[in-house]
Amino acid sequence: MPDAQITSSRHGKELTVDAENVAVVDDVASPAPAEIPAAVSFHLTWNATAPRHRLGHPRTAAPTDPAAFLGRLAHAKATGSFSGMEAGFAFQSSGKSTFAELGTEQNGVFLAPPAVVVCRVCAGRQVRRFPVR
Amino acid sequence: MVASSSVGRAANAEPVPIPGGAHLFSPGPRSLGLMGLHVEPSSISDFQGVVALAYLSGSATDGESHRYDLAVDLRIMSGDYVAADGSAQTGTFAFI
Repeated sequence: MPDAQITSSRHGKELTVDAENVAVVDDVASPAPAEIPAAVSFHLTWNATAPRHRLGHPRTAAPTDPAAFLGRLAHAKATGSFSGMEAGFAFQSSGKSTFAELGTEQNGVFLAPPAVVVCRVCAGRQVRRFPVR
Repeated sequence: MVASSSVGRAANAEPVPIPGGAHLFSPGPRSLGLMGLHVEPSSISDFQGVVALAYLSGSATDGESHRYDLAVDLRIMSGDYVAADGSAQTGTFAFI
């Protein structure tokens, strides 16, 4: 989102996203699959309402399992406005979240144990490097 | 809808979706009909960074003043990722 402004505060317990006229692609499934250009604007703020919890089962879950991630996420409330335009249809809304969460996570290659490599430039010190395909 | 910071970035430097085909999971309390809390919120794989998810409810008005109930699933992912071409990248993405 090149035009979005993301601001984090309260030690990561609050996140504000301001996006104006962001070009998006709407993947429409019905009546026939299509990709329709659209533009959306949204101004949302997430506020954590509880402490972060460690979520996911990164060591035991298969890659396609919903729990194949390591999250540090807190329940949150999200409030703000959302509007969009697409193929002659415009809509706008302000609302509040029925459920929201906020935090950090890692998945995929970032779950693999970091490789220990010897850094020649660093006078032989061992450094840890995450695998990159 | 998908928005990304991919302007000027090669197509093969785009992130890869989570494994299992074109889909995403629905984290949240089972009492709300969602999949539970130990459920991946990101729609992209090989990613580490900030993630925010919100299911918003409200109303919408179209260009002809017709009113509708509106439900929005909006996710922000901002951080490091390994792209389809294997390169290390940084970016911000939204799934709406």
